[in-house]
Amino acid sequence: MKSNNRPLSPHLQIYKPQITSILSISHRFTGIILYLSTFLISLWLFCTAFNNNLKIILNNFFFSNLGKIILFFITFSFTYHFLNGLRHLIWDFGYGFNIKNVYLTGFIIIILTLTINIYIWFF
Amino acid sequence: MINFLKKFYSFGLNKNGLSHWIWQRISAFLMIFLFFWIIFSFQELSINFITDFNTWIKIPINLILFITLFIVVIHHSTLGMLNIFEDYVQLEKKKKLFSILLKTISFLIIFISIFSVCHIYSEII
Repeated sequence: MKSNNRPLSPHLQIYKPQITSILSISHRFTGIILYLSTFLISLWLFCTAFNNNLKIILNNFFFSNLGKIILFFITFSFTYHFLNGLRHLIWDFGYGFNIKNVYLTGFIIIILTLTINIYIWFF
Repeated sequence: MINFLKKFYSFGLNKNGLSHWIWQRISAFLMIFLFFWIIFSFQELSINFITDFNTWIKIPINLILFITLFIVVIHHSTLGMLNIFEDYVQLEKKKKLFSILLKTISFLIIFISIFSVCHIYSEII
């Protein structure tokens, strides 16, 4: 096989939308969001350490509506990725592979993610 | 045995799939405990987080665990991003370039964060 013609994973639009594929794609997507959010954390740490003016601007931004929306996406991605990651680790030990359990744990994760985020942002 | 250790000490960042897989799981396990610790620690600060963070980080154990968490998080996410490149970037050259870029950015983020946190730690109260 030529080096410029590597086999790839099937592209996302090829999957029929169903809970298993949606949760798997979401795991990767939230992972990307979390990686990008480490840039923000790093920037915040840098400003906290070295630049007081930038720190104030950044803190005000996070208290604004846009900042809160960004923080919401980060907390949502974090809770989802964390819970789904636990599910992956349970799979790695060989448990929960049958289709009934995959669907059940999938629904539990969706409900838990929503509940935790509602608790964080509204209580 | 030597081969296994070589795979283990590459931290999953070389081309070996097994090493990548193992380190992704090791970092995930470490993060479970570290995130529980940081969530419960931050809960106590949450009333006045911004000012309290500076005093919180001055406690040595908090500093060490925070730096450990940050390194583990970046390591885990770098491995995850490399996985995405592996799956969806077709050209070998492009994949290599993206991988180098990603590793450089990740290293810079770790460096900036540790440097900043250590600076806060060394500030006189």
